[in-house]
Amino acid sequence: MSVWWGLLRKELLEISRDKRALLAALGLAFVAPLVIYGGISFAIKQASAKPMAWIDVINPEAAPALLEMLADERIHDRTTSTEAGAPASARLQVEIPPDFEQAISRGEQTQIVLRGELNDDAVRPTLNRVRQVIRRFSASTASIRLMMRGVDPSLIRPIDIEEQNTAPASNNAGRMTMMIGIYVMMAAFVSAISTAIDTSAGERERNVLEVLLIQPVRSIDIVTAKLAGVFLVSMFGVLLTLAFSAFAMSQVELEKVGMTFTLAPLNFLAILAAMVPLALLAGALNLLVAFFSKTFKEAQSQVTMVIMVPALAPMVLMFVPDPPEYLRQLPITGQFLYLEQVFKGETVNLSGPLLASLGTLIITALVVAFTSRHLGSERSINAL
Amino acid sequence: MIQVNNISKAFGEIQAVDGASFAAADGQITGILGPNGAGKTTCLRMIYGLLKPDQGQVEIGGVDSTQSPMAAKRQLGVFPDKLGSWERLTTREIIDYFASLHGMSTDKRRSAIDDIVNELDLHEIIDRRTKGFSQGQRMKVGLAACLVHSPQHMLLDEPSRGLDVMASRILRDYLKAQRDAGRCVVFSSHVMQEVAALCDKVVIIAKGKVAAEGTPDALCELAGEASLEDAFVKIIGTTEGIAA
Repeated sequence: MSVWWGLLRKELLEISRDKRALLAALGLAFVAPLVIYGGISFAIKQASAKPMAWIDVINPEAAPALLEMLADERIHDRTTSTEAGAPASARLQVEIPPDFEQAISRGEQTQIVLRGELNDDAVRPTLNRVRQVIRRFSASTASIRLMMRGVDPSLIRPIDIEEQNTAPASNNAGRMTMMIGIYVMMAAFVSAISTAIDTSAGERERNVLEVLLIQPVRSIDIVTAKLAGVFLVSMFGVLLTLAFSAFAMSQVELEKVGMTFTLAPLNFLAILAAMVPLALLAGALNLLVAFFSKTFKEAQSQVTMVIMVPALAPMVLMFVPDPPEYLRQLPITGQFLYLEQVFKGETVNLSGPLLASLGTLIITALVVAFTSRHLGSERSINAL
Repeated sequence: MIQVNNISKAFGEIQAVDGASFAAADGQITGILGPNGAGKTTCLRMIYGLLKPDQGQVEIGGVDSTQSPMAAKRQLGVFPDKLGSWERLTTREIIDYFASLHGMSTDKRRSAIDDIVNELDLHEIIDRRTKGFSQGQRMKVGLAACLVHSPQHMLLDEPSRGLDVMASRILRDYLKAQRDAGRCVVFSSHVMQEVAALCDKVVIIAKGKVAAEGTPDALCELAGEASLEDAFVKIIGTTEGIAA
């Protein structure tokens, strides 16, 4: 055991003096809160305010009442509006038939054409707002027509829906707070890349690996001591990313959109605990790839490619609205979904994250065993 | 004592070492000589357990290194041909690291570091980080790290490369002191004068085989040359005739 501690002590000494690696570990911790604060604040501003939108209306004189209704919603016709700040062109065109008003008066059905690149993300918010206004105008016209004919408009709406949202405000914030989850998971994978490469491919490049393998030390001890050092850097990155991101999130004015965010100390610790197996797996994968590389640069390119796959998996999950149960028990997805539940303030069934952690640790052990076997192999030694 | 018995090693089609046998006795400095590509490094790598021989065996102090590599390694102090540096650590930290790899306790490490600092005259650089060290200073740090645990058997692959006159003299005195203390020192070098002055026995390796072995004087006599360098060149040039 004293040999192992000797190995670890040297790793920690080198890590503590490797400014490049430490800066890399801290990078995400400083970037994540800025992106979270800036991104979410912007999204809230967009959601809570009605930004001025511009459209091109063909035959605006045919539907003054509709245009007035649109203007009330801060949607203006670019050519006729007196509002300042009209752009040179609009992305959405609204074509009103010339006989629109007459058709409405006659009680006939008429048609409005919405034209543009309608699947464009930049067009969609304006498109939705225009649709809502037209539907409201249409419903209001229909009600007037029915009342003029002595018919109660509620007759054509036999069922009224009242939605009562029982989700806590913290749950509403779930999707936004998941940005923290993504950054925390990413921190576990990428914080220690430089450290892992430096202690493996870097040592090979600096001609100090051979002399280590000559000593009476088992290769499994070398790999696990290096993994311990890499793991500590990774957890340091996770800790800072989580703390800074949670602080940034607490500064965002979520209450403007009816949301809240709090991260209780126990939940903070639970997230850190959930990240332990992931940080170990990330370190083991980093070391495996880096030990197979001959130079620091080769390792950098290969590690980045390999490590981004598990690091980006949570982003894919963001697009799965109701993930199947087994994903809660698998490594990486299990931890991510656990984080999601914690952030939403939901009650967590611990069997999922525990199974995911166990699976992660088993894979880590296999990766460590394989790396250790490779390190002691003649193929590795001949490459020294 | 290091006993090398008929070891061979091939890498694909290339036979790097081909049935080499020799012994390095305790209380002697044994020099290994050979031209580049002769199989010297492969031979040394098999002795210090980094490579496994395809056939044959190596005994370090009576321990078969192929059967018990860890036990054999514990008896060895190896200074390899390629030795870099840990630039973020001080000389003391590097030596302490190596001492800990041999399982030495804190007190023993401290005492062993004091001893090697005195023996190799490391006082000026002991608490400096090794970044920016000269080649000679790096070699001295490497030697101290590899020998801090006072091994019974020492394998040094060109330990004097990059050393200045004073440092070379300190190294020679150190190796002689180790020999006089009854240790087994195996030493490879391209500096013939150094080998002639320092080694009690010389083993010449060529084409993966032991081409000749004996005291420097005996090798000169065998080759009919006055200097070890001329004898070496002649032996390498007429390997089969002389080895027979």
